Amino acid sequence: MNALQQAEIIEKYLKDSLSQEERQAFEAQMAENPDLSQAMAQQAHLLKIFQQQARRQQWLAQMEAVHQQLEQENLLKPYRPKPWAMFWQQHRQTIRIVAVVSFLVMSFTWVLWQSIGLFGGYSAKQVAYQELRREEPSNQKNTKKDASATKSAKAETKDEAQQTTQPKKEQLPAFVVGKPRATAFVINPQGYWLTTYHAIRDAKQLVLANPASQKRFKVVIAYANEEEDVALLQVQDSSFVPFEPIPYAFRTQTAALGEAVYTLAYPQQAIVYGEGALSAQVGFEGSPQSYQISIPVNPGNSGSPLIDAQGNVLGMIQAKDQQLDGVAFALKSSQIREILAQMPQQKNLPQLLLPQVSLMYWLARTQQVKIWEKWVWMVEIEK
Amino acid sequence: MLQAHKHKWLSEAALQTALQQGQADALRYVYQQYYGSIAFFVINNQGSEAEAKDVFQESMIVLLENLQKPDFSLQCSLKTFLYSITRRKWLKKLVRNKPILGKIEDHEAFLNLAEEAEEEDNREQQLALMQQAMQMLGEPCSGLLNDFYVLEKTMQEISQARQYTNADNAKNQKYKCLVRLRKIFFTLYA
Repeated sequence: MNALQQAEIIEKYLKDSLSQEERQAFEAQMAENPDLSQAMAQQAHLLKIFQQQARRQQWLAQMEAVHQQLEQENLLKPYRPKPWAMFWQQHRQTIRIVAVVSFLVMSFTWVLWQSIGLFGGYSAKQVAYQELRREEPSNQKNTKKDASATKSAKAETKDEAQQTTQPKKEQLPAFVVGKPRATAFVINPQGYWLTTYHAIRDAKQLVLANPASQKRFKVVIAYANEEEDVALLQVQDSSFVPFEPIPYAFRTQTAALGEAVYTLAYPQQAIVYGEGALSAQVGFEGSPQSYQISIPVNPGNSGSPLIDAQGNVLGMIQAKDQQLDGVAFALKSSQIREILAQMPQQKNLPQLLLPQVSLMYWLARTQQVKIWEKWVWMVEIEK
Repeated sequence: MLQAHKHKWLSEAALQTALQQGQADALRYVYQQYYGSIAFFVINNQGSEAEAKDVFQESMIVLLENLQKPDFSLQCSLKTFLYSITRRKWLKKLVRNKPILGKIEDHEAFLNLAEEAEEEDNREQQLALMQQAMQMLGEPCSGLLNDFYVLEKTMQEISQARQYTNADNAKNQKYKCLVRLRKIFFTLYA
């Protein structure tokens, strides 16, 4: 058997085109002759590689054609990777490590800070302490509801203007819906009210209104204390006539725990009564200047008086706890007294005497409220 | 053109199937999509345009060959696969020719292909030897073998086209060529 015959029979064997006898004979020969079986293996391998190589050549030719074509059609544009992609691929390991390390450092620092209370208190205050000025949404519904009030207020101002004999009559703007709102209460019959600073800090013009006595006055800020959140409003209106003596006193003694208290405020057009109890003799985060009271308060309650069972002023509502319902904070009357006493003597402010005579202690709650209504005023803020 | 292609294959899987079936427009689309960014790797790492083209085409061949295997399934995007193959091939060439200067600059994610590399390298080496052997074999042998084993023409067609007296004569000639090729190849291989 020469090499050619051998190649032929191997090929037939690989293609499985030998008859059964021929195949058996060939396999017997291979078993005897290791050279033959090696030749068989070589030929099989050779053809495999040959065909693979041939296919590669075909593909290469095809791709070369594609390349030429794309180049002619100008579709192989020069490529520039996005700079950030380069940067990311080259530095991603570093970036990852830096990210992890900085995260750890920040968490650690935060925990440390929390534990020594460096900014814990401040951030908690941001979250939990909610000031109570009312930001009224100016939608159609409200406008409609308040339309009647607006009308009557207009009528009032006109009536007043006719009654007063002053040559220059200032027309006050009528009730305007959509203005932020707060509450104020009278502390001096010469025309001084107390409210919170935060409620009126960005006001351009302030008007006080009292539906019970049907009066409206323009006022200005006579004194503002941002730190204690207290503002003193002074009347500046030609139609103002001094009030009668104030029927309530500012409490000098500290209130007792559990004492029944109530408030009157203008979170809406009508005055709203709320009652509760004195729940702590310290305010937000242990502030000794305030009381904590459990009382339902709402935006608009800012600056409303905190009244005790005898009808006297215990303090002024400033804020509520955002996270706990029914927990409010009120500046103590003793603190108000101190603030006003330390108020710098300026301009033409007289020495303000806080009311000291309690006239309501013998009255029932409803009667007290009836009287109080005349002394609690709605603050309309024109930004 | 590009836009039309973009809508033709709804997914990478569909594109792979098209490549596997040897659809010319699929090859063209893949070529056009990935040539730029992958050739850039070579050019950006001390390579020339021509080298970039060669390496990219070799990588495409590896992809096509792999797609022919029944048990092959791509675990990443076509782009990442091509980039990884190109990267490995080019680094190998770089190491062989000259010391690598500085850092290799990547702009894509890539797979580490070290495991499959050895077997693949061996095969590539044999394919290169085969190419060499075929050149040494020369015409008419190489053409004759190609006609029969690759283009799968019958001996009758071949004897007519190559002007042999008859099919038997052509067949004898073919086996002569095959035996010569075997000798050359395994001499080179040894």
